[in-house]
Amino acid sequence: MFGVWAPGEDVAKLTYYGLYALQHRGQESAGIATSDGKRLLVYKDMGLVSQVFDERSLASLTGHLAVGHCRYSTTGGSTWENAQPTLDGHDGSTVALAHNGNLINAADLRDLVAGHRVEGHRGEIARATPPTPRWSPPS
Amino acid sequence: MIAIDEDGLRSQRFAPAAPHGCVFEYVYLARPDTTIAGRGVHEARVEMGRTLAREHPVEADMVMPTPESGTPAAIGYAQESGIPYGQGLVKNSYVGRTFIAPSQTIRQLGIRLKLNPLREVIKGKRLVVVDDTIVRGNTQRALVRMLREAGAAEVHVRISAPPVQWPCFFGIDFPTRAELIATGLAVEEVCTSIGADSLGYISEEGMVAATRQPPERLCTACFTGVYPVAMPEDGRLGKGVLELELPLGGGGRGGGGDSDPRAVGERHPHRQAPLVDVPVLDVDGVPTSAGGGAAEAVLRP
Repeated sequence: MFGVWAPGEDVAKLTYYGLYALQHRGQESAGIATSDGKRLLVYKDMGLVSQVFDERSLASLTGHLAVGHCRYSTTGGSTWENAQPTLDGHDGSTVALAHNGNLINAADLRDLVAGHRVEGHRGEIARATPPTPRWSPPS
Repeated sequence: MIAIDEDGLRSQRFAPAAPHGCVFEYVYLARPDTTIAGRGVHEARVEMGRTLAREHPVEADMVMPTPESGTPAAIGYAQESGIPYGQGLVKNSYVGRTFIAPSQTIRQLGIRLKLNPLREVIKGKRLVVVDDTIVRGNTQRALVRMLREAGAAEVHVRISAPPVQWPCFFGIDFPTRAELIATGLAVEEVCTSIGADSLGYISEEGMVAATRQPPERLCTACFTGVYPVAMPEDGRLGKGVLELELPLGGGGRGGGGDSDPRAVGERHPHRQAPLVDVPVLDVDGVPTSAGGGAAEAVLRP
């Protein structure tokens, strides 16, 4: 994973080279999310960092902050749906998330979240639990 | 927890730390130019090679690595044993994981797509071949055969990690226990299986010592089966757990309704891409944990 906050810099390209240096950590999918603080853009696909991005896609990722991810799947299949950064949220709050590691109680957490949502989301547990103010754990 | 924004950089501790760093980072995962907990990864690997030479000496003419991951340990083995280091294999680093379900014709090219022997270097020599791990054994079997065909007089395999016998639930997609060659076979049997003249693994103690970390701060579960935290019950772990239908247990109140005829834990027939654990073979003819990237790309809109 890579993250950068740098007004005035080309954060998409910085993140690209960050992921390029981290390619050995995951070679199945790659993605970058950028934001200007008001809106979020995510571009991701299956493949190596150098296969997923080109000049055009990087140029379209504008903003002053970015997170990037290259994935080696250990929980959740190697699919586009599970590629990161994930994008989710509710009215007025959107979250892009890049996550590394395994949550060994992922199934329990997923069941817990599913019980508290009108429509249970599927996919990586990280995607099912964006830190939005709309949901709070049961007391 | 670290936050970076217009107010600068700040950090906050939200839980007591009880680190059990992954020993496999030192063996294989990390880039060699990384430093983890004050220990340079390249130097740790060279030290593992030196230890390996002391623990499993052999009379030979040349020490060579399986490139690239075996290189630092091979350098260490050569240093400690006094046997000259040489490069007996050329690796093509450009064979990525792009085409992981190739045709039978391409698959039969096997390991030669990635590794080719330097015949003039190998011919007539007694070789010590150093690699970091044996997982299924297929790659080493093909490698030993290739070296013999290239004229090697003897092939002695040395591994800079102990036998991998247990699955990892924290970030390595090792195959199931049944697929790990060291689970069912003793060292002698693994040696016979891969066709080597001799086989030696570094000891767990030797590996841990090379990391210069206190043993209690490392996770060595893939070698020892001792996990640093309690594991959930069977069936609620593993790569496919998130593709199972909601809810898995009795915990959730939403998800699949009472009228849903599918059994708990059964995959939903429509809402998910295929699980990738169905056999996907790489260029070595080995089911790959890299999953079906290219295979699934053709299924997507």
